[in-house]
Parts: sequence; structure tokens; C-alpha cells
Amino acid sequence: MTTLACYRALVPLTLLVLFGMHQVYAAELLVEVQDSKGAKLKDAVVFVENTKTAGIAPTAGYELEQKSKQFNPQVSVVQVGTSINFPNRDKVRHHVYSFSPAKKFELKLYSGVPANPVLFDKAGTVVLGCNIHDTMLAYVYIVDTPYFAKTDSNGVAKLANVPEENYILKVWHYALQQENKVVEQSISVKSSNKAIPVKLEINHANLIQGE
Amino acid sequence: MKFSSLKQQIIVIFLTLILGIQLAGLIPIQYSVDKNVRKLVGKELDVGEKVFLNLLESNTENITNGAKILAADYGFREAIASNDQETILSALNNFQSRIHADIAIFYGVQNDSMTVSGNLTEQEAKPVVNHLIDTHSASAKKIDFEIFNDMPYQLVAVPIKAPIIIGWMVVGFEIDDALAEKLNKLSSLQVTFLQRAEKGAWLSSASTLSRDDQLSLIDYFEHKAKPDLANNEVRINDDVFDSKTLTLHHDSDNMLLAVLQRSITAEISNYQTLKYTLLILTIFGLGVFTVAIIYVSNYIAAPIAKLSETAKQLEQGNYDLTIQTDRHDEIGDLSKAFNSMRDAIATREAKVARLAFWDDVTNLPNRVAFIKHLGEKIAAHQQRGLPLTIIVLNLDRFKEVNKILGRDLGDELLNRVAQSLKAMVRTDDMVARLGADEYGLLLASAGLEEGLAVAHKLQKIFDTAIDLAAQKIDVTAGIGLAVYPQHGDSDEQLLHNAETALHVSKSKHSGVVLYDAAFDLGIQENLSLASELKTAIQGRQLALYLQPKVNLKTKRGYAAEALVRWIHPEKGLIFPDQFIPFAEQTGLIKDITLWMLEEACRVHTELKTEGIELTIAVNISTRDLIDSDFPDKVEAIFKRFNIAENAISLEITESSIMDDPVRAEATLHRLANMGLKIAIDDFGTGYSSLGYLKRLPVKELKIDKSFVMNMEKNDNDTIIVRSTVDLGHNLNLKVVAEGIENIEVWNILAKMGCDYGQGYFMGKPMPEKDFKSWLDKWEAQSQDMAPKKLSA
Repeated sequence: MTTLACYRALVPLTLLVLFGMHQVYAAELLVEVQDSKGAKLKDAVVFVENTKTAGIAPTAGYELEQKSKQFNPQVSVVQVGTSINFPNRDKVRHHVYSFSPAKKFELKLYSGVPANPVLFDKAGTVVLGCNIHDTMLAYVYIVDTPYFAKTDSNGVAKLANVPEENYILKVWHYALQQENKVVEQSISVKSSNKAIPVKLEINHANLIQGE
Repeated sequence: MKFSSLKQQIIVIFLTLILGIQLAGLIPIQYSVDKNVRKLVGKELDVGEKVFLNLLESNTENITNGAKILAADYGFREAIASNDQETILSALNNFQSRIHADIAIFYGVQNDSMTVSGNLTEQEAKPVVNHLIDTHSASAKKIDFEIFNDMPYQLVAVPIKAPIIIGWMVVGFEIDDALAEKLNKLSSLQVTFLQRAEKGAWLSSASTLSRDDQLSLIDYFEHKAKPDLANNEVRINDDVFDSKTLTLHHDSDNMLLAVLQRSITAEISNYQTLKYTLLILTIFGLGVFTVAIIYVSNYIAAPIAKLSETAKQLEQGNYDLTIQTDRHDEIGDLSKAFNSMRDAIATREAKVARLAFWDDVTNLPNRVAFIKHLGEKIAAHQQRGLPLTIIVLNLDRFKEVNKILGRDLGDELLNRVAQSLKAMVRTDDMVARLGADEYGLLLASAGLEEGLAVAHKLQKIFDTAIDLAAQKIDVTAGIGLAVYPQHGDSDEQLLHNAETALHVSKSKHSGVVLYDAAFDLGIQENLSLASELKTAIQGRQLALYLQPKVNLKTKRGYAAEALVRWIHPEKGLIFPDQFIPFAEQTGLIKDITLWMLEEACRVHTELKTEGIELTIAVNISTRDLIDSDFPDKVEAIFKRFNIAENAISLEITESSIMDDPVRAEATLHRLANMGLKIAIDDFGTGYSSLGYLKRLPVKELKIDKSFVMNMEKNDNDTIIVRSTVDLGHNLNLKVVAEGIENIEVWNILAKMGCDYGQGYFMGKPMPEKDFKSWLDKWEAQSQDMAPKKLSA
């Protein structure tokens, strides 16, 4: 199953590359996210939008597993219209829910892989919890653009094959001082571009431990 | 305070001491109890504070847990997520009533909404809730207190997560008396919650104290500028509390304090039992000690008190007491010393008593012993109705015996008389020496007749002369008699009466005289006369009487003896023997003598004018003889009257010379040198030695009338008179016979060659005015009687 999912994700990626190569020039966009003190910030969601980016269907599904009574990954970013599956890899059962307006749902006590994945059809933030295990927490950020990425442990998000156009660069982090207040800036993507630095006001208390 | 007895002193000293020791013990105990109680209460307060805080914490935890359950409820969170206000409110209400909370508030984070269950508006709740949420994350275990509408609440805030915080549950409990009670039960502290709006008055929100005590506590805080949070002693009404104040809440508007208190007074009162026990032990100890000390003090003081009592008995003369000497300590020694002292005193007293009650000369009891014995006898006889008789006996002329024969023979005489008297009475009778020459006899149980019989027997002792140092001495005695109960019922009266009888006997030479109440009257009369005598001398109540002396050869009256008479204004004529003895005793006799001398001079002068040359003889007494000024006084009188010394002659008795022979001799020589003729009066009745008489400048002897009066019938008297006349003549003295009462005597005396005569036969003593007519009468009469021829 896993091989199949990977395989299916490869197809649009290949198409995108081909399309870029043929239609416009595409570039790689690097964004470095730091907190106000200059510390590299992991799990920040970085995405770019312009008039052309909305309404594009996602190319693949998404899997958000529960393992060792934790969601994995704890922060995800998906495109609107992505169906996310919640496979339970623990022996205990979980009851996954979301009261977030972007997507309310619950998967009542289950084990193994639920029969139906959940479709996230609205942009926004979805906070996932488990009704059994209070400590389980995951954020799913849904963007309406195909150009998005998450910062790695070095605080660097790498957006590949972004057509060289003008965009609005948006950065969100689940521990933002002002919740859901996305940091925006206009950028022009070019191949010669260097990495764009972004600073975020972070409530460190809200950082997920161990991430 | 002073205690008279040793026993009291011992008891008081030791009881004071033990009481002091007990008190000295009690005071530190009291002090340490006090100190310990405070320390203990302080500790309890500290522990109580911890318990109190723990309790609040656990209370918070319980509430929190309750709140968490709701916060975690899926349905509730779902209602929140869907912003279903009605469901949220009903869930809150349900929760509130389930856990009996007073306030339940939901605060939604996403849309800043608030749902309140309880008597509270959103506006009131909002600032508090915001504050709670802001401070919540800072400390997880914080206990929050807030004041809503002047009511204090304990608040708990719990986040509602889904899974991030989507809202807050705030649960509040009113702080009320029930909470205070609960805290009190667990911590044993008095708990009071005090609150105050900024600059407002303190209010008691809840308390375990009584209403009164709360007011008092509030009063305490009102008067304290700043509440002291440390341990503090607070006086509330009658109790003292150790207090600790915790600030539960303090913001710009309100302040909430918890005052934790523990009563020191109550704690101390727990020790009261201990104190009472100690007190009871002290009292019991004192009791035991008191008994012990009384026993000890008795052991020491009682024998001393007994000795003291014995000493008192000794003081009263009771020597028969036994003194316990069986103790071997100092008191035993003292008792022994007492014993020997008692014996010594008894011996000495017996000696003294013997001296006091005994006459060593006669070996008879003395006057004191006699009176004592008499008193005892009277007392005894009074009860039994028995009579008793006392006889008082006085030797005549003992003084002369003593003088002439010496004191040793005088004593011997007294002793011999004593022996004779003792031989005459029975063994239970008493013979005592009452004075110099006076004896007393007590005839126990002798009545009047028996007493008189004994008295007469006694008199017979003196019928025979007593052999004394190879001399026969003729002794006579006066005897007085008094009988109990007729003549008195007391020792003194009886003796007095017996002595009165004796006096009568002596003065009248009448042998045994039984007391008669009439004697006393006579004596009393004499006494009153004596007191009047002095005024009599000055007031010319005395009169001079003349008794003529006649020459037995010529039968011519040529001289007279001056005799004194007292013409008492009420009692009339009083004879000298009624007042002269008293005058002799008191010395008034000297005044009488001088008066007589003056009067004699005057009479002599008067008679001279009538042609009568009369030599007047004046009697002078012992007192005149021992007065060295007497001759000068006589001379002065003679000069005043300007008369010749031979106009007056002096007469003295033998006995008057014998009192002080040396001075008497000197006085007489001076008088004789002045030219006065001196005669010895009452010659033959005294014991004067002829050798002595010879030395005196005496010209004349007057034979006592007792020898002369019955001369014609008594040959002995005649012999005495004759020898006296012869003796006088041999000594170249003129002899005068007194007491010539008839012609026979006159004749005998004339025949004997006696020079002069005096007596009733010739003439009684007469007033001076009668003397001339007597002289005329006598001269006419004497012509016929005289066998011889009269010559001029």
C-alpha cells in the first residue's frame, strides 16, 4: 500500500516537471524561518499564492499515522481537496477528532486503517486530538496552492519548481504569538533568488515538546 | 507578729519555710507551663497553618479534578466547538449542582465569549476570569481567591482543550462558615476570614469564632495600621490567642485574610489539672508536715512548758512536784538541773522559814508563826464549831532585869519562862514568843473555863522566885485572855483582844484578865484623849493641883507636890494615868513638864504674895532627863519669874533614870548645880543600885506608897520603910513617905524618924486656890493631933 501511494505521488510531480520545462521556467524557492530571537524554527508552513495557484486539485492523498500514542507527523501541510488517511499503528484504539471549523470530524474508536480517508476540502487550520489520549495533538494546515513546504530542523523550507512569477509568500506556525495570523510578503520567484528570511513571533510555551 | 510560745515559733518558722519552698517550686512551674504552652501553641499554629494550606490545596485539586472531568467531556467540547450557548449553560448548571459549586463560568477563547452559572454577571466575572487565565500558566497549583459582590470565593480555573485550549472552566466556592468549620476540624485552629474593600472596614466573611469574638478580632485589625503576618498574640475578650494571618488575596480593590488562631488560655487551662494536682499534693504535704512539726515541737516544747509550769509551782512554794528526768538529751539535763535547783531552794526556804517563824532565844515559834497557826486553828475550829483560847503573858519590869543582870541572863530568864510555860500546856497547844518579854499560848479546843483555869495555873509559876545565876529573881507577869469565838473570830482580832486584856492586867497589876469589850471602849477613849492632848496643853485645859508635904516632926506644911489634872471641856476632870503614859510615848510629856514648871513658878509667886513660902515639887520624866537643853529651859523659866531656885524642887522616878543613866546623871548634876533640890520618887519599886544612887546629886528619897499605905498591918512593909529611912539618913538624904492615909501610919513614921509625909491623911491633891484654906485648917487641926510640940 505504501509503495502504491508513493508511486501515485510521483506521477503529478513528474508532470509538473515536464510542464515547467516546457511551458515556463521554474525555480526553487528557499525560505529560512527564525523566531524573533533568531532561532531556527521547525515545522513552519511556508507557501506562495497568486491568482493562478487556487483551485488546483491535489495530486496525491496523505497519511497521518498514530504511533506510540502520538500523531505522526504532528504538523502537516496539505493542499485543499487532499484526503488524509489516519492509520492506527498502535495496539490501543484511538478516537481521532477535530472541532476546527476548517474540518470537523471524528473517527470513533478504531484500530488499523479506517475504511475511508477524510477529505479536507477547505483551507484553514485543523487541530486533531484523540478523545482517549489527551496528549495526542496534531496540526493540519490546508493551503489552496500547490507550492508549499514545511521547514526542516534547520528552519529551511524548500519549495521546488515554483514558476518564476510574482507571489505572496505566506508563513504560518502553530505556535504563533497571534494565533493563525499568517505572516505575508510579496516576492518574485527567480532562479537567481537567494533564500528569503522570515521572522515569526512565537509563543514558545505552545511548542510541541520533543518535536 | 510575735509568738509567745516556743512551739508556735517552731511551727510558724517551719511552715513558712516549707510554704516558701513549695511556692518557689510552683512559680517556675507556672512560668514554664506558660512558656511551654506558648511554644506549643506557636508550633501547633505553624503545623495548623500547613494543614490549612494543604487543605486548601487539596480542596483546589478536588475542584480542579471535577472541573477537568467536565472540561474533558467530548459532548461539552463539541457544544463549545459549535458555540452552542444553551448547551454550554445547561452543562455548567449541571456541573455546578453536581459538585455543589457556587460559581461555574465558561470562557471561550476563540470568540471571547463567556457563559456564567451562578449569581453573577458577565461584567463582574470578566476581569477576574481574565486575571485567572493570565496567571494560570504561571503556577499550576495556585490557590485563587477572589471577591465578587463582597463575597469571597475560592476559584479554580481549568483549561478546556480540544486538544489545544479552546476555553476555560472557572469554578468557585464561597468561603463560608462551613469551610471554616471544616478547616477547624482538621487543623484544630480557629479560622476567620477577614475581607476589606480598599480603605473600607474589615468584615468577617466566615469564622469559627463566636460573633462577639469576631467583632473583637475585627476591632483588633481595625486598630492595626498594617496587619502583622507573623505570629502574634491577640487578646479577644477574655482569651489570649496566638494568631497567624495569611493574605489570601490582595489586589487594588480588595483584600482577603485568613486569620488562624489557637487559644493560649484554653491550652493553659489544660494544665490547670496539673496545677490542681500539684496544689493538692502541696496541701497534703503541708498537712503531713504540719502534723510532723507539731509532733516535733511538742516533743521539744512540751517538756519545756512542763518545766515552766513546775517553775510556777515552785514559785508558789510547792516543792513536792516530781520532775521527769528520764530523757537523755539537753531537756533531760535541764530537768535534772531543775530538780537539784528545786531541792536547794526547798532547803534554803526551810532555813528562811525557820528564821521567819522561829525565835532562837527561847526556841519557840515567833509572833508570825503564832498568828499563822492561830489563823489555821480558827479556820479548822470554825468548821467543827470548837472553841479555842489564847493567853498573852507579859513579864513585868523585864527591861530592868535585862539592864541590871545583862542580856545573857535576860535571855536565860526568857528561856526559863518559856520552858515553864511549855510544861504547863498540852502537846497540841502552842507556846510562842510574841515580843521581847511577851508570850502567847494557844490552847487548842479550850473553852472559857478551861482557858481561865490554865491562865491561873500559869500565874502560879510566878509565885515562886526564879533561880537565875545563883540569884533568886522575883518575876511577875500580866496575863490577858481571849476566847474564840466569844472574843473575836479572826486571828488578828483575837490576839488584839488578848493583848488588850493583857494591857489592862499590866496597868492594874490585876493578874489574869479576861478580855471584855468594855476595855476597848476605854482604850479608844484614851486614844481620842491622846489626840486632844496637844490642844489641851496649848488651850490651858491643864490644871495644877497641889498635894501638901508635911514635916512629920513639926507637923507644918512647908512644901507641896505639883500634880497635873486635865479639865476636859466635855469629860470633866481626867486623871494623869489616863494620859501621861501616852504623853511619855509621844514626847508631849516635855511640854507638860515645862508647863508644870511655869505654872509651879506662878503658883509659888502668887502664894508668896499671900505670905506663904511654898516649895513646889515638879515631876520630871525620862525624856526631860535625856534632853540636854532641859536645864537651860528651866533656868529661863526661873529667870522669867524671877524666883529663887529653891522655890521649886524636882522629883524623878528610879525607872526614868535607868533608861539612860549616863545622860540622866549629867542632866541631874547640871540641875543640882543650878540649886535645884532633887528627889527620887516611888523609891523601892525599881532596881536602881544604891551605888549609883549615891553618885546622883539627890537630896531626898520618896518611899513608894505601896510600902506605906498598909504599913500598920504589914510588918514587912514596916521593915522596908524603916530600913529605907535609915538608909536615906545614912546617905545624908531626907526621906519622904508617900501614901499616909491615917494617924497610925503618921505616928509610926514619925517614930521611925522619917522626915516628911504626904498622903490623904494630910490632904488630897487640890487646886491652888484651895491651898490657903487647907493650910489654915491643917495648922489649926495639927495642933491637937501632934504628940510633939510644933516648931517653926
